Amino acid sequence: MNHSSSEHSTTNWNVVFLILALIAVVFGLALFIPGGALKTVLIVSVSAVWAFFLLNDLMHLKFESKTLKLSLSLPIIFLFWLLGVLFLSAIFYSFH
Amino acid sequence: MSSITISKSIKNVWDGGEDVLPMNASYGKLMMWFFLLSDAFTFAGLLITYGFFRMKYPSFEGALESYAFSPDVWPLASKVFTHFPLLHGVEIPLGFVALMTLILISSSLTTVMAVEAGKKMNKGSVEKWMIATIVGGIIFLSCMGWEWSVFIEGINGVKATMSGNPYGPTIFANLFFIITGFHGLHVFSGIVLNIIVFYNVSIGTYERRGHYEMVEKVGLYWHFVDLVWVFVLTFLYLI
Repeated sequence: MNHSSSEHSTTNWNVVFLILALIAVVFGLALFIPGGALKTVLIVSVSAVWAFFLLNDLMHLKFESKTLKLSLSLPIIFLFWLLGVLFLSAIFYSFH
Repeated sequence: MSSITISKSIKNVWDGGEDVLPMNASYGKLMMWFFLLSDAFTFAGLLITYGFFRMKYPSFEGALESYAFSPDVWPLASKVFTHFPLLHGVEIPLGFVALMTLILISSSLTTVMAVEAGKKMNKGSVEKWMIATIVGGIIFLSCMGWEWSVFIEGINGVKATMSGNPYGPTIFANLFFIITGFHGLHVFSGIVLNIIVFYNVSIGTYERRGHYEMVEKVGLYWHFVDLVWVFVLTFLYLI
């Protein structure tokens, strides 16, 4: 059995508070910033950082091997690329 | 003799024996990670579809006071999701969804505590934090049910269904139902898995096994449900 991460089991409360701060930031951006491309980019970026800390610290991915990290992160990077391409396509083929 | 040694070592690697750990992770944990990756692709398909239609329709431009729902304009989430339980007539834009987010994040933290307690082989503590996680999941799912009922109720007697809604284009409600419904299904299955693992913890299965890795694996699934919510929230409610 692998218990490689057992020695790193202490919860990093700084990360927890950082995640809570990021939640406040995304809601602040959503409610108080006027709509537009900049708002979308900012919100998606902050959410991506929030997701990173969730994955890296709460899911303990940072304690896994480099190969496993790459096996998981490279396909996810492809998803973000696809997201960007389809967003641009949607604007190009807009109904209006 | 040497060829026998080589073939034996190859067999060991691909059979996945007790002493062989590809990527330095146990078989179950590795498979959970890759299952979650495949699930991420499914959710990405749904969310990218949402993003495509979101960008394809024009957004509302102008002063918020003059905002009106229209089937030709993508609705503003801060105008659709304004209700809060027990506060009739008071509009709190995205207030309830913020509360739902905090509930889910809290249940993720209780999962972290359960996993830590498992590493310390503290059965009582694992049970306590797993119950907290299950309760958090049930509260979240109940909140989602309430939000669906308010969303379906619609505006001025016009209900939101798969064939039309009072908020905006038909596809808006369709995607809302499908994406939040699919996420809700994950929360539900997460609760069921947590209950099964909690039962096993209670009867001492993992205590006898000598480790609580199953709590860690179900914890990964639960964190993933939270991770997906980050993007569901971002796409459906915030942008």
